Amino acid sequence: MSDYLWDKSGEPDAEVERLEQLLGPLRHQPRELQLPREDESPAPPAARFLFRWPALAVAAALILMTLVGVWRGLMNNSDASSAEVAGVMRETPPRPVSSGPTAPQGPDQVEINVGSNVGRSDAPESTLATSPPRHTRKQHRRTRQHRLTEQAVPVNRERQEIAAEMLEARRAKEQLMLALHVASAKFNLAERKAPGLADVSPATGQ
Amino acid sequence: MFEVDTNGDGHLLLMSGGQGQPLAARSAATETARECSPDAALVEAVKGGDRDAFARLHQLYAPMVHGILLARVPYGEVGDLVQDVFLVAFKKVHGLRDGAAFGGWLAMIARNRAMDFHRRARETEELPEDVARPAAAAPQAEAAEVLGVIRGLPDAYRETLVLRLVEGMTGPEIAARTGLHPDSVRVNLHRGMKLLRAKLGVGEKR
Repeated sequence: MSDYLWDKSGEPDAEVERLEQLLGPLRHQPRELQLPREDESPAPPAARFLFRWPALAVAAALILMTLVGVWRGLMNNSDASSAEVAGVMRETPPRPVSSGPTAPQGPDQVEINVGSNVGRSDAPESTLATSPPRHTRKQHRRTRQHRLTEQAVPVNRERQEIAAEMLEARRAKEQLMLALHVASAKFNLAERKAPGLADVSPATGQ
Repeated sequence: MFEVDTNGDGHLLLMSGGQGQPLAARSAATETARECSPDAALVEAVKGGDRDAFARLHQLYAPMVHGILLARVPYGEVGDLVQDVFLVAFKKVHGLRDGAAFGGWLAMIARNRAMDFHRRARETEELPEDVARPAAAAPQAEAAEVLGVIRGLPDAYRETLVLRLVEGMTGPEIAARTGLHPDSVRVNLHRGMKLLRAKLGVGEKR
C-alpha cells in the first residue's frame, strides 16, 4: 500500500490523485468568522454567576416572602378558629337548673348544640348570630394565651352541660305528658257535657 | 503573539513523533505535545478574552470542521453550519478544561451539529440538495456522485476520506486535528479507500 494516501509521500497513486482533483473544488473556502460583539463575549462561569446573582437574590426573597405570608396566614386561621370555639364556649355558660316549669323552647335555646356545629356550613342562623365577631390580631394573641388556661375547664363544663341537657329533656317530657293528661281530661269533660258532640262531623257541623 | 506554524508542521511533528516508538516513549511524547500544544495556549488566550486567538483557531480548524460536516450534510448547508459550530465553540470554550483537546472537542461539536441538522430536517422536510441552496455553487455531477458514494460508507471511513480527499489533509494532520490516534486514522484511510474503490468499480491498485 502506498504512502501517498497516508502522507502524500512516495509514488503518487493515480486514483487518489484523480479523486483529489475531482473533489478539490468542494474544499473549504476561507470565510470571515462572524463572532458576537465584544460586550457579548462569553464570560467565564464564575462571572456569569456573579452577573446573575442579583436576579437570584430577588427570586429567593420573593419565594421567602411568599412562604412567610402563607405560614402567617395559616397561623392566623388556626388562631381564629380556636378563638371562635373558645368565644362560643364562653358565651354559652351552663344553664342554671330550675325546678319550676320552664318556658317553651325559644330559638336562643338551640345554641346548646353550637359546639358541635362550629365550622359547619349548615349551622342554624341562630348559632351564627351568637358567634363572636372577628377578632383583631391582639385579641387573637390574648385568646391564645387564655386558651391554655381554659383547656382544663372544658372537661368539667361539658359534663355539666350534658347533665343539664338530660335534666331539661326529662322535664320537657314530664311537661308534655302532663299537658297530654290535661288535654285528655278536658276532652272527656267536654264529651260528658255534650253527649251528641262526638257524632257531629267536624267538616259539615251536622 | 502566538507562534503557530500555519501549515502545522511543528505541531504535527510533536503529535506524530511517537509513531514507531515504544508505548512509553510515545505517551511521553504525547504528554510533551500536550504541554507544548499551541492549541492549549490559544485556548487559554481565548478564555482570557483574546478574540484574535479564536480567529487563529478558526483558521486552523475550519477545514476539519468543514470536512466533518461535508461527510454528513448537503454541500450547500456546510458553510453556515461551520459558522454555527465555531459560534457554539466560542460560547462554550470556557467549559473546556484541557486546551490541548480542543480539536477533538470541536470535532464532536461538529458531529452533533450535523445530527441536529438532520433531526430538524426530518421535523420539517428535507429539500433535494440542488434545490435547497440554488445560490451555492453546485458541485459537478461526478464530484457529487463520488461524494454521495463516500457518504454511504461507515462513519469512521467517510469522515477520514473526506478530510483526506476533499480537504487535502494528510493522515498525520487528520490525527492531530481530530484527536484520533494516528494508527486509527491510517487504518480508516486504507480500509475506506478500499471500500470506495470497490463501490466506484475501480480495481484495487497492486
